[in-house]
Amino acid sequence: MKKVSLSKMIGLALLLSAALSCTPNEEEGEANEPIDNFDRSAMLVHWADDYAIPAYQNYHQSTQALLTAVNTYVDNPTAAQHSATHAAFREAYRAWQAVSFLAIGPAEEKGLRNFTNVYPTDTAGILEFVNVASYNLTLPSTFNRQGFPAIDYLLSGLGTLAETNTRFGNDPRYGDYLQALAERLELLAGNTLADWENDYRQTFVSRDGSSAAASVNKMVNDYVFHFEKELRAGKVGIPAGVFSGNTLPQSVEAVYTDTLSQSLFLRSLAAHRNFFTGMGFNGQASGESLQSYLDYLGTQHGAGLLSEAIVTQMDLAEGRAQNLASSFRQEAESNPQALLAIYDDLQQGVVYLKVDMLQALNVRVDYIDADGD
Amino acid sequence: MRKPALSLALSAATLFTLSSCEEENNNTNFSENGVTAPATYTFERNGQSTVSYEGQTTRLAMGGELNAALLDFSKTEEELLEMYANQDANGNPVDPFMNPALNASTKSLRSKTAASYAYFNTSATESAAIKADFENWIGLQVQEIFPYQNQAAAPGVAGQIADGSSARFVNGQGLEYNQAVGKGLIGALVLDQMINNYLDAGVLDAGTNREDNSKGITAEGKPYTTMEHKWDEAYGYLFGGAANGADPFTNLGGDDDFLNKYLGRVAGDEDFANIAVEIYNALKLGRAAITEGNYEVRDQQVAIIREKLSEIIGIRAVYYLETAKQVMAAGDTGTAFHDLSEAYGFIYSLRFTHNPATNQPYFSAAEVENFLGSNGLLGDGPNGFWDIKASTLENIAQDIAASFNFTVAQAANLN
Repeated sequence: MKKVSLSKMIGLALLLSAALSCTPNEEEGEANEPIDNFDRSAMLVHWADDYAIPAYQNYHQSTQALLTAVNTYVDNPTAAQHSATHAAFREAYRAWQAVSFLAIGPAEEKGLRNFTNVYPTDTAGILEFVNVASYNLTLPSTFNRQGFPAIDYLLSGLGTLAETNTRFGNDPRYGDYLQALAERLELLAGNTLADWENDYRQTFVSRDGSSAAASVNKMVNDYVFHFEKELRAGKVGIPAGVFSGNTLPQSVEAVYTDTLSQSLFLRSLAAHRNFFTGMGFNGQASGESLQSYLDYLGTQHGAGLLSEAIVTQMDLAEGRAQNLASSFRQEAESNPQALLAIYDDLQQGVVYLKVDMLQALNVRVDYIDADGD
Repeated sequence: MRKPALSLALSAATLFTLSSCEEENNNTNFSENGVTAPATYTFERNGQSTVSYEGQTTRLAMGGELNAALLDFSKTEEELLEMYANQDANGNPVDPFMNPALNASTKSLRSKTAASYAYFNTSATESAAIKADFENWIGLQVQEIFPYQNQAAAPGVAGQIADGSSARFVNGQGLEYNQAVGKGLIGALVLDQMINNYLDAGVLDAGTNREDNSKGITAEGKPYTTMEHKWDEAYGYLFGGAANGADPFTNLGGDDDFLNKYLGRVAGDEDFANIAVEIYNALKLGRAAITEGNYEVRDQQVAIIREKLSEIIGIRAVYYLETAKQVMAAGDTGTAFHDLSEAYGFIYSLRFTHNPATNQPYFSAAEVENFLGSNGLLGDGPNGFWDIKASTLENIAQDIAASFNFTVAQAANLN
């Protein structure tokens, strides 16, 4: 790992081992009765009504707008239509960040995140599908040939703007594939929203116990998993080379648009913070949250509150990210230390969330690190 | 036995190594019963190295290529079987590998599958049946999996299934044949050759080996005695993939797809943080004992190596069973099937373990079949893993752990 001091490496290793070794070793049998008197029900209602459903509504609308723009562009691939389509793409990609960690219920069943935002995308595979004009986008092997990263490649990765428009104008197979991708995003977003609005909201709210299958336990796990794997590792750590020994600039999110990665990171970070502090989607209604839950339990970190320590880590990361270039690819290439500093802030946050918070809430981690084979 | 203080120091050193820092300090010379182990696995005679295990490095590389090719959907059954046997069905030489050095070799994976002196010298029938298991899995990969590359798996239907953001390819029962092959070879080839063949007294002391070794008579045209070489060949099955085989801790677990990989994984669990150093030290001390003609110390080290490496198989079998149980409870079917497929291969490998107290495997072939077949992993319903019950996984995990010197909780190490 170039340009990283040994002491930093050891520091990271110690943090990681602390995260692994400090988890309580509980018995298998899990109580379903409340473990404290915090109003979990009120928190679930707030999460469903003030956050998840309006966030999915917003995301679904953005995918509808993207589909409309794509259809127009494919019919008439001009610079102006490309610009409008790309604007809709950016908006939808940002809107996605607010719902990405809600991998519970319908999103979990549909594998929504896998079909929406697996990157780096498989550009050779995309071109193969364009060429053969035959594909089954419901298969797991096509995760990295669809979603926002694939649309990013088709809109911004094929060449200059003029070359891209010419390609779409001359070969309808490109437009067909782009439309198929936009349709699929819209369909999955719409179905997920519909499930929440129809039945799942009630299911989610009613599972207000404390078993492994209870909504709080699952949602907290989804949140911590996303913070660790998507926000910390995917958006920052992997491109910065934390897991590979050398930087991987081409592994940033939205690498073909290139100037979008900082903004997607900040959106995701803000979503994590809003959810944690109990802000509703769009900063509207606030309610019971992980923060108020921890505070209710009086969970301390040192002389202060654990919840404040967690928010501080997110604020630190945000402050650093705001000072960077809009392209995290550029940062990974020329200034990986800046990304590593963000990674360190977030890694400390992971320790607070995954070890201290889960212990305080008496929630077991329900995911494990894949062993990579 | 070593002093506690030294163990502690070595344990701390292992932790540093595993966090992939440059720093490392597993290389300590020490003496036991009058035999001194060198700091690293380095042995010389008249200024010339006596350590050699190219054949093992070659086979590990062949196995690596076979593992990859099992997921190359352009391969034919014939091509894959030729990679396994390094010859065609009529026994003619073939060039099935990407690496020309492997094609130039006459060695093969098949010839050393279930081929140890201790277990199979007089059991050609079972050896043939085990080889046939691998050929069967390889064939079924092509027949049952390859045609359905672009089909979603379902109960009774082969195809692909999501494991996180990647796709796994399973048969109608949820089993990945490529995992059965890859993890099965860890036992049937790597472990069996290492602990049941090259470390077995029947091989080390064969013919005039002991007399020659005691007198320092080297093999014809070689700098080593035959007994030294046999020991090195055992070493090569564990560390033959390392860039620096004498000091294999720089990239522990990253040097092959087989036993080295899982030694690294197990040593990464704090419950077993010492295991890699213990095995390495026993290999060093045993080799030094041979050079000094101290066969008592040599055989003490054989017992340690057999016990610890057998534990690696048991620990990983239990680990994957427990992991599968947990992810299944979280509703992650594809990930659970992948863990179950790894467990399947590691359980298959249990038959090649070696309990130094009994000189028998920790689990017999019949017991392994009981874990895997219609009474075990594939026995909860017609669709195998699709029908599996958590209680089945727990029962098998408990049964395995009970025969070893570790607990289910230690092996599981979940989070």
